[in-house]
Amino acid sequence: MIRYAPLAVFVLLAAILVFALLGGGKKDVQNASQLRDLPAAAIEGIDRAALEKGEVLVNFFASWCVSCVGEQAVLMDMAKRGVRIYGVAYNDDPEKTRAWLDRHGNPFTAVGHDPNGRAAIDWGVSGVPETFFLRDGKIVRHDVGALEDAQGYIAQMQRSEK
Amino acid sequence: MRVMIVLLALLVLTAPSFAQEMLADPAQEARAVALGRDIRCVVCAGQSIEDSNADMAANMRALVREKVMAGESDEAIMAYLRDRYGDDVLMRPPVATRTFVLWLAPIAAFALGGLVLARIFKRAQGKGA
Repeated sequence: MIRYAPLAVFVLLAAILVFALLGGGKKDVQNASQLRDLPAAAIEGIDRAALEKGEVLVNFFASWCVSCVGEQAVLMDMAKRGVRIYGVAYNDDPEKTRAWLDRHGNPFTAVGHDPNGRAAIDWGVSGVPETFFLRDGKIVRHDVGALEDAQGYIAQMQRSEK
Repeated sequence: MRVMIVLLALLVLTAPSFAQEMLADPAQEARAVALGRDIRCVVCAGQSIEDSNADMAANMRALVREKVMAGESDEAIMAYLRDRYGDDVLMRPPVATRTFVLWLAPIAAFALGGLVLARIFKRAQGKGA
């Protein structure tokens, strides 16, 4: 009987770990965002009403953010395909933001500024880049890190429609 | 003596909770610090926002102080952050069905160790007698 004790403990531990690994109801930042209403914090330079209508992306970026450079091409591609994207410059100097957009392209319908990170916290942003997909003023999707596939993302946007 | 004073001054000046964001009211500041110690800096490795000097943590400290000043309760402030960042923002994981192992494991391990020790001692005693 006692011979099987280590095996039993192992199986129990493995079961617990597998459960935890497959989600187990953990509340992480992505599912905390799920279907949350448009955050209340005002973003300087972006008209709130514009974010409440239809489908729109909100992208937090910064001129000092390295992976944002690569993502910018993806966002440009998406904008060309008709996606409405709003950019929010996080902890950035407006001068530097403008220069950076001149250099790497500006896919944004409007660019907002969040100099003290107040909007970022209200949206649940921990770093840049992060992207939100909103439909009719509700957050449908929250991506942490640079987007890499414009067409794939658009396809998922369309699939998420009900 | 002079060196001592300089050292003491340095100690005071470099204490956490960087001066520019401290609240004037010591009671409110104490609340903000206590709260800050329970809020995990989401971009740091296991540091609270009170211990970190990342931009993100500084922004969060300022936000916490603003909310304390506005008279919000500790629960409301924690709930605000948890709604946005999930459990990752909490320094102490909540006790829940899915975290009971986390909380119970050390106690269980301790109890198990005690049992094993008790057995060993008993056996040793038995041999000695």
